[in-house]
Amino acid sequence: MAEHVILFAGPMGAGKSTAIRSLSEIEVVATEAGNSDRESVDKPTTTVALDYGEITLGDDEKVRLYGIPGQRRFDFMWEILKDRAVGMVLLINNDSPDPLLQLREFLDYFADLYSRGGIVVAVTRSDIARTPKLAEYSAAIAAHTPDMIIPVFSVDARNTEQMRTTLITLILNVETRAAIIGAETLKND
Amino acid sequence: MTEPLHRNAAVILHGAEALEELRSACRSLIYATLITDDGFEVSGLIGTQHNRMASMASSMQALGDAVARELKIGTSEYIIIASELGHVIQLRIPGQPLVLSALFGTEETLGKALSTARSSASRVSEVLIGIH
Repeated sequence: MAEHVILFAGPMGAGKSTAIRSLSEIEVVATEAGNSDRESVDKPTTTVALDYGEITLGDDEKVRLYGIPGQRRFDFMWEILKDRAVGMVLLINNDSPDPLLQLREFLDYFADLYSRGGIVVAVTRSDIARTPKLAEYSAAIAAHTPDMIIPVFSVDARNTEQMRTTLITLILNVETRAAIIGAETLKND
Repeated sequence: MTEPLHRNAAVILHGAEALEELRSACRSLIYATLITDDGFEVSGLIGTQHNRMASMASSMQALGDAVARELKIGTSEYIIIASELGHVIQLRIPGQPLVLSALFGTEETLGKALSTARSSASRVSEVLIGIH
């Protein structure tokens, strides 16, 4: 059975825990605490260590889903979990004060995950904030990291089918790139 | 909106007093902090802010709770990290969304350190019941 570890990253309130709950076939391991910082993001709880879920794709492909805390002060968890992952779903909530800045910051921090596997961007809460449009995300990615090819989706993190499509796209990207790297290695040997 | 505990002057003051009492009771105490469940420092001993340690203690507490839930063994009462040069003990403040995390030198027995930390947590709990 093929196994992948996929990270769900993004700012606080982007929908990482919700996305993992939408996807997971097992009861999600959650580490939520009461949110003392309601001024920054007005939600009752926040993830302080990780979320963990699992999903099987196809007949024999198991994917371990790790959600990381959105707040930078928990970046030691980002480091711990980043090392295990081969790909990342980057969730950005369109109604955050500066979603394109958040996008660039997360892409910078997790750039090596792109080198190792792949990244997809999933934009949430587009029904609440209509802009930036998806094309602006794509343009921002192209301008900031021109060597990265990163698909961008608009999703509702509560919607299992939308999250499955996002995840499957990422897994296909990861596997395609792994196959290309493998073929190049063989050719060079 | 309720004032967060790490910005509540009375909670900060009583927390600091409790940590000072902990230091008096246990001379091997190297470091202690009282944090919110989500990792903001309310009071810290040794004068400086240890924000990173507060965040890590919060993650550790939440992971301990998750393991206890997974294994269906009730709630996690305390967490111990026993190392060559010190013991970290952390436990919840009863009835409050707060955690006490303390580092003791190895000259203290784990039992004594745990017992003192527990007494301290209980005192903080009693004092804070009347505040918020």
